[in-house]
Amino acid sequence: MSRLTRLNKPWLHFIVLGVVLYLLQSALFPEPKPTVGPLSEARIATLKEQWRVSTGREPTEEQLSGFIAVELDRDMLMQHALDLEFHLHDSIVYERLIRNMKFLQFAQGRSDAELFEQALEMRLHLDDEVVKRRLIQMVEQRLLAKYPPVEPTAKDIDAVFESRKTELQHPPRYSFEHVFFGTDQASRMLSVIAKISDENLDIQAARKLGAPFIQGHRFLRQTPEQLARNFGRHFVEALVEAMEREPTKLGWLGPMPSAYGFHYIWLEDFEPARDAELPEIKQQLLIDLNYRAKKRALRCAIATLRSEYVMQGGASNEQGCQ
Amino acid sequence: MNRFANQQQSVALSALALLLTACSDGSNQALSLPSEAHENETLIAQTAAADIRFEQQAINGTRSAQIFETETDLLELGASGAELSVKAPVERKAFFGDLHVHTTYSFDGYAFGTLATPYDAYRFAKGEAIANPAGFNMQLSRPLDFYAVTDHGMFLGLAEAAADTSTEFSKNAFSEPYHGLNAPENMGASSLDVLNRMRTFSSFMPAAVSQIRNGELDRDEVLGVVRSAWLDSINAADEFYDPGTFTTFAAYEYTSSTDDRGNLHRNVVFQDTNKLPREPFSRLHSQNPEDLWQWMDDLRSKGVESLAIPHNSNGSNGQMFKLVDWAGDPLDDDYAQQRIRNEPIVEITQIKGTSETHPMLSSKDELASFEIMPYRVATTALSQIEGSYVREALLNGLALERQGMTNPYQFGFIGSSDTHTGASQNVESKFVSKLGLLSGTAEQRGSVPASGLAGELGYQANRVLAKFGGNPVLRVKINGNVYTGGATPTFGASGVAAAWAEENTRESLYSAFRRKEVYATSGPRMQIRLFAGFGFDESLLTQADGIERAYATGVTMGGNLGPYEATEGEQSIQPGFLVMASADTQSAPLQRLQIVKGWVDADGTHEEVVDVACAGGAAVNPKTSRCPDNGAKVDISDCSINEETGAAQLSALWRDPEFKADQRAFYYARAIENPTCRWSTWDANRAGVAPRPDLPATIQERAWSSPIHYVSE
Repeated sequence: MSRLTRLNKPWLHFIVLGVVLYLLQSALFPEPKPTVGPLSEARIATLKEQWRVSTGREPTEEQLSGFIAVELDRDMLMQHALDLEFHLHDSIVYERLIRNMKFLQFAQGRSDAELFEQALEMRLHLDDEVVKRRLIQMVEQRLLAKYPPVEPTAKDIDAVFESRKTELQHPPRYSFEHVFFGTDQASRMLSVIAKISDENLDIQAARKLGAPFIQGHRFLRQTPEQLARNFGRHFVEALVEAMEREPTKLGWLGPMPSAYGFHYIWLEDFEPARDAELPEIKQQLLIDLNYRAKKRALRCAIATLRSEYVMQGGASNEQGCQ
Repeated sequence: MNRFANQQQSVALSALALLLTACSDGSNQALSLPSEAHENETLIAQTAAADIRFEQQAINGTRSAQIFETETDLLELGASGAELSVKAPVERKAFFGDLHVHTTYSFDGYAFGTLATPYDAYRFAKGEAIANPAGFNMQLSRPLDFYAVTDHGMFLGLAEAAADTSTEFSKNAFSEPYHGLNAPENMGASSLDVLNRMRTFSSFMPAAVSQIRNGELDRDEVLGVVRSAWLDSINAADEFYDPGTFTTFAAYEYTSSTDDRGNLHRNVVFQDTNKLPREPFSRLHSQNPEDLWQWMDDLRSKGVESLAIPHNSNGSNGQMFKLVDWAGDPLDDDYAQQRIRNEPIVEITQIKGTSETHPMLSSKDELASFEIMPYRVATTALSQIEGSYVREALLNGLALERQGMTNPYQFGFIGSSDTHTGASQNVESKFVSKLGLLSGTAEQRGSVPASGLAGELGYQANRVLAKFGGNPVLRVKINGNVYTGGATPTFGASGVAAAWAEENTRESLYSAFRRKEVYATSGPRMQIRLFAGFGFDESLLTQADGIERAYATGVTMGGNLGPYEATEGEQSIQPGFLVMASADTQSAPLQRLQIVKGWVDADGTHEEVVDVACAGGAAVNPKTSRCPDNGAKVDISDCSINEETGAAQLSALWRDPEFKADQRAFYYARAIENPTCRWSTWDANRAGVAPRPDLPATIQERAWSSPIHYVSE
């Protein structure tokens, strides 16, 4: 009884009723989320213009919505930084705004703190490229700290190694000497080759029967790509085709046509293509994976942040947040 | 939001400018051809104004500040790189590379938005794609054989460290304007973004120098950043060095200039990375290149071998090859010996123009106007012609020799790119210039008309600003179209360094640099040989061992040919010059082979250019010393060429009809391709507009051998 009496106080009823009403209001009429966008027509026109200047063509609808989504995200990150009052507590923003005020010649007789206050009143922090970059960067760092990138696992490395195996393959290597004939020596070439065959000449003796070749006569451990630089693609195609016909054949091959004439080849050695081994390229794969993981983590964090805002005037930019 | 506000402001400014100039005359302001720039009144007036400005800045002194002490402390890094698995070199082969590459560690590269590290640069050279700051990929169609990252030694890595907010250095006040500047969201390529970017960076150098001087910025902290970046650059070079396949060099750029912006830049290339200086010697140690050579000599005495490669003499305002020393005294033997000991080769061609010669110096050489960039480097002030070009320097070297002095200008030639994106740029059809965000579009490069804010509004605003001291040549109007002006449209898609070496290793390539058995190309991977000897005969051209015999009995490019040693009673004979060239299989066929001769006599210096071999077996006209027109054509509308004309290989054994046994002379060979589209024409075709009329629509790519000097005593 005495307990109920103690509760029967008007001031207590007032407080309880107030709390209930407050909770009811919050549930029924929640605080509206901040709105970002839409971009003005002029700003969209600027985005289109930038693309046109960069590429010489109009953006497609899909590209344009992508640009708009990126711009909205930047605005959202800036807004978020302002909501968190990063601009009030960052020494870089502070110094930048003071410098701007001094540049605008508003500094006479005022302390730095006064200048900073005045810069905020003049909303200079909203109109400074470096301040905006700084604030966006701070938000991104905060997001990455909150949603850190996933470290690549051994399984990830194995998977990417497997998927890039062809790209990372070591090419075949050819070692040979050759007898060269210019384009005007095609008829002589056949009789020289016959002589080499009939007399079983070695390469040293045979080479003397050809013409000088500016790139030289001996080529060691050359990849097809390296050979193409010196002889042209036709030569490499002919050589590869010959080796495909007889992979183990060493000795005389040809004549092979090139951009410069014909080459009768004495193949000394051939090392077939081989797959790269993981230890050789692990570091390179790790760098690539870490980079992608960081980008992905940031994209996902930004996507999460979007739920705290009403994004108007553009499709949400959720590409690749998996 | 603020970007939009900026753009609104600029539109308002441009509109105001348009109104202000509405009543002014609308005459066109076309530039003449770059090679005729020295007759352009606007440019001459602009140059005079710039000279006054440079003089004022020199008084201020931030560009000539010596803020670091010279030191030769060494990093003892030990041998690097695996041994070659195959060691049987018998012939010298042509290896192609680039010895002039900037990355994110160069303060200006960083300002251009470059994020590519030295590691990325080497990946690019090996054939991987890397990103241009403007958002697209760059990739070679075939890898290069060697590559050297040569970031500016001056404030090496400082801009990158200032912008990266995870570094200690970024936490000082100096660094704050640059924070996150190259973060992805800040990489806009619009005119306004670029203006903002350049405004931010314009104060980087002077701010750094003045703050170090007055103690606001800690000198040792700056040196710490420089040394750390230098070490990282060395590490990258070692990591990618693959003997026999791909060679890298530890290197950097010494970026000095005279107070009037006469370019004195040199790339310093080290033979290996066993022992290296702890920090690069930069213009902040001394503005005087003679001090650089002394530093290199001091290092050499400690077992550190290096060479310096001057470049962009074309933009030196006559300073690179002048005939007085830094103090203004006449050159002497000590100067000449020290210079040639440290500078055996020069970069004759690169993106910022070709420095072989100028039409006003070589009026009888109809190919002398090739890719002339007429300005002092990084300005729009005209560069004085005399003292700025290589052929003239070779001639002056002969004259000094005649006076009994050592020749300081007896150098070999290479080309390189000077890219600032980590990626060589030497293919016309793929050229995106060197300035990252500042040259990522055809409009920025000045090859197609500018539109939007960079177009008519920008042109009119620029005219107004010019009346108040602005630069009148940043925008030009030609036939009613507005184009980017200044130096950028005169840039060339050039060049490549080539070396005749036994194998693709540091040791072998560096030896080639030292003996000057190197040559330059304007981009295509042509091969060119030049030998001279007294016993040469026609069999060298036809017998398989011709090149071996030429090596054995003569001298090759970069060498000295001494006088014929006649036996008693025997008459002196003429030397023969064996010239051979082959076309690049991915470029146009060759049109002709030439010999460029320079000599000195009592009347002074002289030069002559003669054709020695013509495509299609045509004969050289003995009266004009020129090949007949070989009918090579370019269809400008699609850049196709008639490939059936021209030659895959050309060779000749040439004898100098004017040879005099007692006359000093030099001879170098030039291989000339059939004409092809210039990069600006490729740009215009892609944009569907006519090529810019004041730029050449086509060019003739070429290779220059290093000279052979005939030394008469």
